[in-house]
Amino acid sequence: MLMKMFLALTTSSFTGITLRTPRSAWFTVGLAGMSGWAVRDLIARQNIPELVAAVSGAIAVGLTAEIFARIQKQPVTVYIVSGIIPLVPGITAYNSMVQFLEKNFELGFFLAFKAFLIASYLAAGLAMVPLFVRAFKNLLKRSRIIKRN
Amino acid sequence: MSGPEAIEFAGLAGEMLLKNGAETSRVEDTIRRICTRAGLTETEVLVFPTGIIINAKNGDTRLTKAKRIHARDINLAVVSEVNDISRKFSGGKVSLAEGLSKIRSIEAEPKDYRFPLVLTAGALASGSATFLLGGSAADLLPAIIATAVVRILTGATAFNLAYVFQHYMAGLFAGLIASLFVDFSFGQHLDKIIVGALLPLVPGVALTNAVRDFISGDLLSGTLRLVEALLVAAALAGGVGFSLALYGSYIRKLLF
Repeated sequence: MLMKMFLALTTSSFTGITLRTPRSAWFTVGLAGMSGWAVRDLIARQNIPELVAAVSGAIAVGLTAEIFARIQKQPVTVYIVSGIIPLVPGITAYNSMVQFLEKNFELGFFLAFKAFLIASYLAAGLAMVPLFVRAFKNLLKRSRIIKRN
Repeated sequence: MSGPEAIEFAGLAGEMLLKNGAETSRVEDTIRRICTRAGLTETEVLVFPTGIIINAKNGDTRLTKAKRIHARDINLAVVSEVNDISRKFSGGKVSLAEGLSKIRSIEAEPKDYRFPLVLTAGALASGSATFLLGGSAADLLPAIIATAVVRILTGATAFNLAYVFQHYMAGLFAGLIASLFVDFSFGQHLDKIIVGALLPLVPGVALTNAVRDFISGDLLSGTLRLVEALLVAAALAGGVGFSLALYGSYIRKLLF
């Protein structure tokens, strides 16, 4: 588990460098990827459906990205783009293609759709985080105003 | 404050952001913030992946700037720098003229890492991705070499192929090299090597931005980006599929 977490870190980190992530964010990008992988892995082990695990991993990536973006004053996109890479359903997409080659079209379509579904769930998980953060901020602001009065 | 300069600044900032992989709502937000800060009123901004239109009122006259965007490449360093400048400008720390000259220098000479560094990073990323997906130690070297070859062949700026064709070639070469290695028993898991080699190329940016655009209500941008992501994914898969079919039916017979 620790080994895999480290691998997730290096994968996101090096992918980040190929996408020209600013130098100060090289390591934190890896941390975002690592947290996403760890959360997904922990949840997937509890017999919880794959899609739920994918969304949780994506939310973890989004949350760490928001935190690091605030600390390092970089746009959130920088962290999200590379942080999500370890969670991408690459093997499923590959298997679907192999099934197409072997003329198993039904299985091929099933796997392709599964990969697409996981990918869109990941994206939806990432996109949900800023909405929550904004709502939370508004809540904080309102509670401060109430306290002052 | 001078209106034409402000709209120039906003347009350039938006263009640099959009070209280098920022999401639509961030681009619109940045442009609107710059225009408001510079004293323009009634700002209307239209942004889609292939163009920007800005229209704003400067005193009694209306100003418009339209910009068509052709090539897109992901460069997060530029996104970060432009974001920084626009933040400083709306915070009042940078004047309009300074901001404009800074953004012009970014446009003329975008920050980029040296190719060897990008190449090494790409190779190492694929190596660790292969391991992460459950590959064995024997798969590490083939994945690294496959990525290095793919990046040198397609990523080199020497010949700028069309976006989709570039990804098709990447899939093709990754498939060929990985099957060669596995046949010479240098690697064990063909699937893990190929997926690891191509994982850093998956259209994650396009897909996440597409869903974000959908959620924020930019249906047009969302649709376009979704199509882009699907196209790139199909190109990668098509390249790998073609290479595997070619290898299985011809090249293996030629070699052995």
